[in-house]
Amino acid sequence: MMRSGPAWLLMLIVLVASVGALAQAPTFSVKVEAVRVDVLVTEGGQPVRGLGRQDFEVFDNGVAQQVDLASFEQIPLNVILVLDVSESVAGERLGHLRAASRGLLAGMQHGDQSALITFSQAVTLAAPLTGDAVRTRAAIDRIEARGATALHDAAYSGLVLGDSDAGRSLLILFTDGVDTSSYLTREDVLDTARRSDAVVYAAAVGGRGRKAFLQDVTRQTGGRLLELESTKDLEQTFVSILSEFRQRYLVSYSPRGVAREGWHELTVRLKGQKRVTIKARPGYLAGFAPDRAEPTRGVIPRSLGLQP
Amino acid sequence: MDARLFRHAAAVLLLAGSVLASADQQTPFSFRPVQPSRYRTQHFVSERLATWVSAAWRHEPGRWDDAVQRVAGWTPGDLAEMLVDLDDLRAAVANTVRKSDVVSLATPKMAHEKVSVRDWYGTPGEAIALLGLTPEEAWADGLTRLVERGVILHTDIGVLAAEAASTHDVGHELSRTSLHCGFAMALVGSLARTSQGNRLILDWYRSVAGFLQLHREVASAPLFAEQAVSLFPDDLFLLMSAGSIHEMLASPTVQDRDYFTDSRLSPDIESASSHLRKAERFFRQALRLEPGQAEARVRLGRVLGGLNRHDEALAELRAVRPPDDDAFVSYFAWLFLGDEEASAGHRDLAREAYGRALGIAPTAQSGWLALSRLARRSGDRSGAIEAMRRAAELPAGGVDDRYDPWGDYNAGQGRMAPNLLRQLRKPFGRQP
Repeated sequence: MMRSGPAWLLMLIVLVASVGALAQAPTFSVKVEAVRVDVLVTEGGQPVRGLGRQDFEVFDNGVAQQVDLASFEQIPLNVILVLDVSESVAGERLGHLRAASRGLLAGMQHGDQSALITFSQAVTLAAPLTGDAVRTRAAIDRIEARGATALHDAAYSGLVLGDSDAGRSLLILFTDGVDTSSYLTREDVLDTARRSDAVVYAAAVGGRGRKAFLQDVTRQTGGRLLELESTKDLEQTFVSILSEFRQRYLVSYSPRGVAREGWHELTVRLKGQKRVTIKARPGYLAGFAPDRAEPTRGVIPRSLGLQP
Repeated sequence: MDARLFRHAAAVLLLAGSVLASADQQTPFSFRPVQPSRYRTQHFVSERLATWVSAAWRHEPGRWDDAVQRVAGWTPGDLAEMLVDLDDLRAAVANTVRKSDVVSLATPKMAHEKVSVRDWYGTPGEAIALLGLTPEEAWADGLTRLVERGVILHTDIGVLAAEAASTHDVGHELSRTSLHCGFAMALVGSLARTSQGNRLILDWYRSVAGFLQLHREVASAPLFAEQAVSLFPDDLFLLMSAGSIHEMLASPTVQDRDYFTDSRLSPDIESASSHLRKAERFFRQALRLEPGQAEARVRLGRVLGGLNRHDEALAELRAVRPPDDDAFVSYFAWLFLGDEEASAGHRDLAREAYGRALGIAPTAQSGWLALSRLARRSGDRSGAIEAMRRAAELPAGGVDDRYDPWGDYNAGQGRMAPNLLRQLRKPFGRQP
């Protein structure tokens, strides 16, 4: 396995970026100072290893960029489980879901963090992002299935949680249904996905032709939709998602020669190689929503005593 | 029978009911045959009618009892024939058989033989006996009471089938709901022409339109509601019901092509903008009747926003005076005002409005998610995360302590349907 650069250096950069962001809280800069792209490179279905930053070509809105980093496997992960626990999951499916989640946690490595979000008609942060796998496992043991399906609200919450930490975020979204009760719309979630660094893998069970939202959100983040006939092999699915994600490169660059705000179309290639398959997010949104708003100062109205 | 056939039959019944309700008839209970020729024998007709009459009298409102079980499985064809049977029975009881009532029976034994309705049933006395009435009762309001009980019987079949749908074959049960509620509407339509001001009719439309909305019966709910409004154009409740049903049909959940593939029910839903325009019309009618109706203005504001008429939406929502005694309406007045202020770029005002909404329902996930979305769009990452955490954290009392009015928003007036159904059944005796 190729080590394309010292892991500690990358971590340091990530940490510095994180501290920088926190220092500006609650408002972060509209400038996009570094863009991170998770890239899966395969040939004949097998991951291609041993690549360095000199092997990648990245185009931001068609403008070639200088790749600063292309790291493989060294970076700790934030694995966020977003699990449908609506009524239809009760029974055998819930048992499979618990087992799959435990199996996934067993594959976590030192430095990785996990979180658990469950959803029925409401979204619950059952375990916050933590390096304490025991805590997440305990939350998994407590989940119960009932109610409707707030899929959009849950996906949004997972994406926001994924952006709460500077690490690489992998969202594993499991559902056996379609949204029936969300307040947020599909567009709200996709807008958030386009601004997020998190990668969404979705595991969907049952039904035909009802995966449009899942296809969109996984494609926007450079992830993958896995359509399953049943939950029988869900544990294997979860473990394989984690394994595939660990085999992705984290490519980073500082945008040059492009406008700061708006939609940036991304193209990632390998120099001189045409047989490989590359999977990465198709672009990202930078900057604020397009209106003439005044600067924001803290989201929760203090006058109403609603501060935590 | 498959769901498609049920839907088709229900549509036929609904149409028949509409036509019957609007026809200018002088005689009571005139259920005109849809087809001029009928292929039946006397025995067959009597048995089905006798079964129905017995079930209507014996049914205990609100229960899935023996009476319900004897009728619930009838096909659309059975029910369509029942309308014909009842019309003939009415004619026999009233002893008002005229030449025009002579019908053509075409059976293997009696090809195109002309037989009068009187001959068919025998004497009026026999017909009255079939009803389980004395002649005096029959001439008074016995027939009305029978038909009213029939309304309750078929409404209960529809309602109880929908309530069972979560544990059974959803497509099948919901289609049965449309079918039997459609039949009940045909019966109600006959009452409308003879009992002006009959409270049952108004109560029936209010409760059934609401119930169908509550159970997301998206195929039939708008038909019932619009028929109701055509009969009672000045009824505020029914106008709100029709408007909120169209608002529900415009919702992303219903419009999402994923939804109906999942439930195997795929009615022809119009575009979101088409339903929103219809909803706008009903809410404006409601406001013409009662300009201070806060819920109508809140929903109108949201509908206008959905139609991308944001300036109008903002004006309507700013004009709402959230009622102190209605937390449900007040919550949405502030929540949707926040959405429109945000859309206009007034982030401080939006934040304030969301805060007011959360002051009414502090655990409402919709309000916290709206705040999170606002923060995220403003570039306030930490604010977005904090509001999301507040949305998703469990209250001290667990899941059951969490209340979000959003869960009831698309039920519209249907949120009152269970109570309205209880009131509807009350005059007819025992219910659970």
